[in-house]
Amino acid sequence: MTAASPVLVLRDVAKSFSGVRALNRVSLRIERDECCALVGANGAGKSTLINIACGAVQPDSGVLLLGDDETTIRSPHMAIELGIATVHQHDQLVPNLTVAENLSLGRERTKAAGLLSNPTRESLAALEMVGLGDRADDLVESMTLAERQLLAIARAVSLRPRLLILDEPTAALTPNETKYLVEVIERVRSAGTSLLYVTHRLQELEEVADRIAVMRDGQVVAERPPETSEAELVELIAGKGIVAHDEELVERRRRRAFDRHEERNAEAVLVARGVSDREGAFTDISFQLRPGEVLGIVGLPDAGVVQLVETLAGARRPSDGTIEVAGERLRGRSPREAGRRGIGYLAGDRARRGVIPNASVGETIALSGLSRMTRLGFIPGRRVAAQGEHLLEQCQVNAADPSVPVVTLSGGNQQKALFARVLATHPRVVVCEDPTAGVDVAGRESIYGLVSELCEHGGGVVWTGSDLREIATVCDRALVLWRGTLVADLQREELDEPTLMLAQFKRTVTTSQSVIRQDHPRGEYV
Amino acid sequence: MSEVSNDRSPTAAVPRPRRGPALRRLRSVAIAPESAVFVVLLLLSIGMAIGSSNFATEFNLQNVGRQTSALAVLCAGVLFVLLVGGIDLSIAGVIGLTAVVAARLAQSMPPAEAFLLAALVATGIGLLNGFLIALGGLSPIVVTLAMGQALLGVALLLSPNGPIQVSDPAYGELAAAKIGPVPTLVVAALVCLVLAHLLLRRFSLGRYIYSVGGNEKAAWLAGVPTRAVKLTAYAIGGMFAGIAGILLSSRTGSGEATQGTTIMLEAYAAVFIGGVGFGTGRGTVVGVALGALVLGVIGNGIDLLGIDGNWQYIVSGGLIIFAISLARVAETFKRRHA
Repeated sequence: MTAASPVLVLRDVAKSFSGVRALNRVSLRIERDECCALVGANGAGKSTLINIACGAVQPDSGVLLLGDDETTIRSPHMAIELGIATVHQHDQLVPNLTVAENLSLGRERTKAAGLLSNPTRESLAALEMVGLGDRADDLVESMTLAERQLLAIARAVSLRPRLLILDEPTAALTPNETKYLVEVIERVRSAGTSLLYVTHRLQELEEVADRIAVMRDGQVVAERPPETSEAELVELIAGKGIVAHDEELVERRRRRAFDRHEERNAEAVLVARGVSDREGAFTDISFQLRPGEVLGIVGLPDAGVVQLVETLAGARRPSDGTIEVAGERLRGRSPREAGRRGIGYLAGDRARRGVIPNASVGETIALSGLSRMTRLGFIPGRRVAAQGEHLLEQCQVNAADPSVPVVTLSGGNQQKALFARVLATHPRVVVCEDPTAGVDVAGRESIYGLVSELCEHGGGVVWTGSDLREIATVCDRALVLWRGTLVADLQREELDEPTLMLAQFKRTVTTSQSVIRQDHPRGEYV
Repeated sequence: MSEVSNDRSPTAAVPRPRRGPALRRLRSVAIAPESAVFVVLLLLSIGMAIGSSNFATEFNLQNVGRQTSALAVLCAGVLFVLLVGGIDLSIAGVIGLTAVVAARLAQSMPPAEAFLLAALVATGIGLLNGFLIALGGLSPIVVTLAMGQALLGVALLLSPNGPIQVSDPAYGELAAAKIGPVPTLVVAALVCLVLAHLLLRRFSLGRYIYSVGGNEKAAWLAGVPTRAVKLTAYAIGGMFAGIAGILLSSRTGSGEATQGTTIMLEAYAAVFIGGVGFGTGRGTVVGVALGALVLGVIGNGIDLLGIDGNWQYIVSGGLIIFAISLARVAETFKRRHA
C-alpha cells in the first residue's frame, strides 16, 4: 500500500432489501488520516452503507477496495481483522462487567491454566486516549451514556484499526460531552486512524470533519469541505429537486372534514400546555388538536418525538404541564387511563409493542374495548363477536375467520387489526406511531382511509413517522421538534417534504408567521 | 405467511372468504397440544386395562380420581401463574400450611368453616406473593421460593408434635363420600376446574391473563391493567393451592406440614405434560387436567403392576421432556408449513 492510497473505497455499491433500493450504486473514498463525515436524511442509505463497510450486510453489486486490493468483507469479524472497527449507535457493552473486562471482551488473553491475564498495554493506552484511564475497574452500569460511548470508542481503538466508523456518536450527548468527544476523535485521528463519522448534527461538523459527504436516495450526491454552511448542507440533504407542490399529493390529502369552516373553530379535542418530559427528552410543549384534524409530529431521532407521543398516549408520565382530552385532564398513569379518557394508541414497532402473539384476530380486536363491554368481568360473547365482525369489515382486515391467530396475517392486515382494536374503544383522539411501517400499498390506503373516516366523525389524529412525504400527504398540520423544543408549527399550505426536512434541522424556507422565531421565550402559540 | 391484499377502494365492502369454519375448527382441535396429551392418556389407559384386570374396575377408577383430584386443582393454580409469565414455588409451603391450619381449626370448629378459613389464608399468601412480584417488581422465583420456605417453617411450628390427626370423622367425609359412583373429592376438583376454565375463557380477566403472558408490554400499551392482572393471577394460584391442600388433608384425615413437597413437583410435571408453555402465555385448563390424569394413571399403574414406586418419578421426568420436545417439533413443523 502506498502512502497515497485510500483506506477504503466503495465503488458502485448497490443494495436492495426485498425490492426496496437502499443503495443505488454509491461510491465513496476514505483517505488515509482523514475524518470523513457522512450526513443524510432518514432512509438516505447511511446505515446500509455502514453495515456494508463493517461486514454486517453483503452488497448486491459493486466493489470494495481496501488499500489497493479488492476485498469481500464477509462478516463483522472479518472486517475487524481487515482493520475496520465500528462503534454502533447502541453499542454492545456488557453492563455488569468492568471497563477493563469490556475492553478485552471476546479476545481475553489467558495465562497458563486458563487464568485471565491483566489488561494489555494497548487496551490501557486506548482507555488513556479517551480519558478513562483511571476507570478501568469501574462497572459499566455505573457510567454515564457519554462515558459508555467513550468506552465503546476505546474498545474499537484498541483493535488498532485503519478505519474507525462512528454511527451517530453524539446523538445522546450534551454539548459539553460532544465537545470532549470531538477532542477524542482528533486524538484518534492523529494516532493514524481514519474515521467515517455519521451524524445528524450539522453544527459539529466543522470541528470534526475534513470532508463532508452528503447522501440522498441511496447515493452520495455531494462532497463538501468542512466549512460549508449549514444552510447549504441542509439543502443538499433535502434535495432541491423535490417538487414543492405536488398537485397529485394535494389532491389526495385527506382533510375534507377539516375544510369545513365550523370545525376549524370547534373546541380542541386535545390540549397540551407546557408539557415537559421527566428525562428531559422534550420541554415546554404546547399545542392544540381540533376535531377532524390530522396533526403530524416530526423531528430528528434525538428531537424527542417518540417520547412526546408516548406521553400523549399515557405510556410516559410528564414532569410538568397538562394534557387535556375533551376538557378532561390526563393524569398520565397508564395507557389504560388515557384510553378511558378517549385516547387510542396505535404503538409503533408492531411486533414488539403491538401484536400479542398468542391471541386470535378476534381476541386482538376485542382486547382494548373489553372492559367497556363486560358485566362483572363476564364477556358477552355474542356482542363482542358482533362488534369484532363489524370492525373487521370496517377496517378491511383480510382474515379467513376471527379465530385464526393474528400472527398468521400479513403485516398490513395485522396493523389494520390493531387499528380496529383502537377503534373498538371509540376514541376521541388516535395517536399513531409510524402506522404504515412495513405495510404494503393497499394496506396503506386502507389506513389512510380509516384515518380520514375517523376525522369525518370529529375525531383527532396525531401522526408520527419517518416518511415525510407521507406526513405531508396525510396531515393537516405538523409540529416540528428540535432537541426537545417545538420549533415550528407548519400549516397545511406549507406542508411539503422539503419544508419538513429543513424544519427538522431548524431551518426555514418560508417566511411564514407560524414558524416560531428562535428568540421567542416560550415557544407558545395556538 | 402470504401477503393478502385488499380492494383498494375504501368504500367497497370486501367479502371475506370463509373456508369451512367447521373443518378449520376440527383441524385446530387436532393440532392442539391437548389432543396429544389426550392420546397419551388414552394409550396409557388401554395399556393398563390390558396389563391389569384390576385397572378398569369401578373401585380402581374411583381411586385414580381421588388420587388425582388435589393434583388437578393445584395444576389449575399453577396454570394461572405460568400464564402471566411467572412461577410459584411457594405452593408446597401453602399446601402444608393450609393442611395444618385446617386440621388445627377443625379441632375447635366444624370442618366446613375450617376449610373456608384455611382457603382464605392460602389466598392471602397468594395475594402477598402477587403484591411483592407485580407491584414490588421482585423476582417471582426468588420471592416464592423464600415464601415457600418460610411457610414450611410456620406449618412446622403450628404442628410441634408432627402431623395433626383430626378426630372428627366429618373432616375426612369430603374424601370418603361419593355422589352416586363419583367421589366428592372428584366433584370438588371438577368444580374448581370448571371455575378456572370459565375464568380464563369467559371473563375479561382470562383474556388479560393470556395477553400479559403473550406480550406484557403490548398488553400494557393496549390498555390492559397488567399489574393488577398479575396480582390476581398469583392470588388465584394461592387459592387453588390452598384448596388442593384441603383436599389432600381431608383424604389423609390429618394435617402434615411437609405434605406439599412431592405434589408441587408433580404439578409442574403435569402442567408441562399438559402443554403449558413457560413464558409464552399458552396453556389451558383442559390441558393441565389431562396432564394430571396422565400422572395419576401412571402412579396407579405402577401400584397395580407391583413395580417399585420410585419408577414413577423417572417416567414423569421422561414424559416432560417428551412433551416439550413434541411441542418443539410441532412448532417447527407449523412454522415451516405456515
